[in-house]
Amino acid sequence: MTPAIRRPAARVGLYFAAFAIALYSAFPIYWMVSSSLRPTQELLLNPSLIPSELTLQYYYSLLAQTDYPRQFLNSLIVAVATVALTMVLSVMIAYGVTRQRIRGKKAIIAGMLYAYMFPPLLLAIPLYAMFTKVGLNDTLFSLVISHLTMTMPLGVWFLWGFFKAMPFELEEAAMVDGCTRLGAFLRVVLPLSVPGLVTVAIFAFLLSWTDYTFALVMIGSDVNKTVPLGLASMIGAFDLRWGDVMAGSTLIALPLFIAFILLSRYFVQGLTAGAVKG
Amino acid sequence: MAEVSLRKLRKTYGGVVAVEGVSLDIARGELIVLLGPSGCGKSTTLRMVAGLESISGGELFIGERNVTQLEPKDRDIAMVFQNYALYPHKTIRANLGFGLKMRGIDAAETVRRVDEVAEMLAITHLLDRKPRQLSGGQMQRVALGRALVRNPAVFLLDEPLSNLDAKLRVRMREEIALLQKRIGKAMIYVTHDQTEAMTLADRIVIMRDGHVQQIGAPLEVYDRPQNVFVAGFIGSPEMNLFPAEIANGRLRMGPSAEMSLPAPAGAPDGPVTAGLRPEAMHVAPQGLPFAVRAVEQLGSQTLLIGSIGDLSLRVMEGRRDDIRAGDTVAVSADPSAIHLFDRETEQRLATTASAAPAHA
Ligand SMILES: Nc1ncnc2c1ncn2[C@@H]1O[C@H](COP(=O)(O)OP(=O)(O)OP(=O)(O)O)[C@@H](O)[C@H]1O
Ligand SMILES: [Mg+2]
Repeated sequence: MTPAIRRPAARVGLYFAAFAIALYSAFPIYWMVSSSLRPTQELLLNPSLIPSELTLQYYYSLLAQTDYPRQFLNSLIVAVATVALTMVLSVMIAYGVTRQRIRGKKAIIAGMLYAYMFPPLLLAIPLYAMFTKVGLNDTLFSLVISHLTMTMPLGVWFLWGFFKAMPFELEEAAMVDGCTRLGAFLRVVLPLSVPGLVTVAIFAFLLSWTDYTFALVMIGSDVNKTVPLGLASMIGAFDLRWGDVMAGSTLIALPLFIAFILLSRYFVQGLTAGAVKG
Repeated sequence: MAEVSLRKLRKTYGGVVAVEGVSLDIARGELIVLLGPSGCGKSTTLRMVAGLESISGGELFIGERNVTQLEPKDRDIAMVFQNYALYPHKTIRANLGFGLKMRGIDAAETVRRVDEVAEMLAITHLLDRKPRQLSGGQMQRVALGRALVRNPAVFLLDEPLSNLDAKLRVRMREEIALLQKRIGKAMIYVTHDQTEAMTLADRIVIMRDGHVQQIGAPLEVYDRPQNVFVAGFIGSPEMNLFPAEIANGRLRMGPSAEMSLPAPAGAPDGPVTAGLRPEAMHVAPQGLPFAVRAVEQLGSQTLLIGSIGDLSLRVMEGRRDDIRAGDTVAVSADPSAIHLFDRETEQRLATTASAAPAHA
């Protein structure tokens, strides 16, 4: 804390700024949620700040009359698979490059980050061509692989910083204490990396769950559409049902909210650990 | 039967030799100190014994078993690391008990042994804390405890006290010595601090550039250093080492014939490197003129820093309040306290009056 922040006036200013920023970023979310709950009349004609009446009609119509449940499930499958594969692969790669003497490990890390800098669309088109070649086009699996191109570099890079900051003596102590190399990793390194793992998992989930670009290129058939794609096609359809769109958006955001609330403690720890030590 | 036996242990990294041909038999209950300057291969040797570093050549026996190829967990060793390496996510109790748990010792027995060791190290009140809530000294105790609890055949300690302040270091040193005698197991202790080595060791192994220079009891290496390196490394303040010439039973320290001391009996004529411990020289009514440049008061002793002719020397006296920088005093030395080394090979030269302790 700088001395300035202890002065009451500066403090009030700081709180005011924090409040303003919070309001600014929270308002669209509030608007989305409240819009999904107001009757159509009010939504389209004179939306007040606080809805006069609440209704769940859009949620009913969304879940009962559209492909939304199917899309939601698709999104969930893709996101969970992406997270799982990201975790396993990036933990293995990151641990390998930190602890083993691997030729050109700097190049591996740099290469992955370089890949991460490509706009998704640039990767999506050649990937699509490749998937078509092997007959994987228009499958959820192809989407998972595409998402890995975004999540893996991030995961490896982040965990690399995490593992690097962890003294190797800890594993050696565990090995002397009776663990195998793998045992030392599972019992000492992984538990200590939980904040990093959670952070990577959340980021991977977020990237996969909200992805539109890759889904647009990879997925053609209705049965395989994910939620962002489904919502987008709803907007393009003959009648624009804002209420349904808002309800769909709220449902997209829901798992993210839940994850953040449950895991925010680790998440913040992970971010700062990565920033300071990595 | 030796408890631990190192047979020509060797370690190379790529083409670089880090440790070359270390052979050593350690008896049960013996405390061995590996001593040497930074980079001499002490840690590497210890880590080869631990199994944390693969052995490039030679063999290692613990008890009756050849453990050269075994994993650390199968070697019956415990190790204390320089930075303690306590598991940050576990309580102190879990840290202490981890090794027992991994070896399938049942919970009740684990609790009993952890409590016993905690009592022994006076850390019982810390058992429920996490490592980050401890001071350096307390972490050190826990690290020791984690080794003790396992009751292994050999204890390995790599500079365990180097992160503690001077006072605590002395206290922990005494404590380790007492503990080691009490449990009666073999211990290998790595340090670069010769005082630690002298006070703790049953035998000291002095290393340099991966090679063992000398193995012996503390006073043995102090009294009869095998070469110039050991002579300079053991003892504080450092031994005075200087080129000299032996002729007609005199040790000539400078160009003029007056600058000489009686040589030890049986010393061969010719050029030598001579060694004289500061504490073997003393201010005397008659002797060589010693120009005092600085005076260091150590309390019960007084260290005089100065020179005879061109030769810089240190002289350790009992407490003296009367000598000032700039004074010139006469100093002399007992001929039997002079160490002689070959100028070329730097190896100790035999004399009939070996530099042995003065007492009969
Ligand atoms: N992984 C490695 N790769 C290459 N050389 C190494 C490696 N580890 C150690 N060495 C070299 O081996 C030699 C011995 O190192 P070691 O760590 O045993 O020294 P030490 O006596 O413990 O020194 P210190 O007192 O500084 O801890 C050093 O010259 C060091 O550079
Ligand atoms: Mg070392």
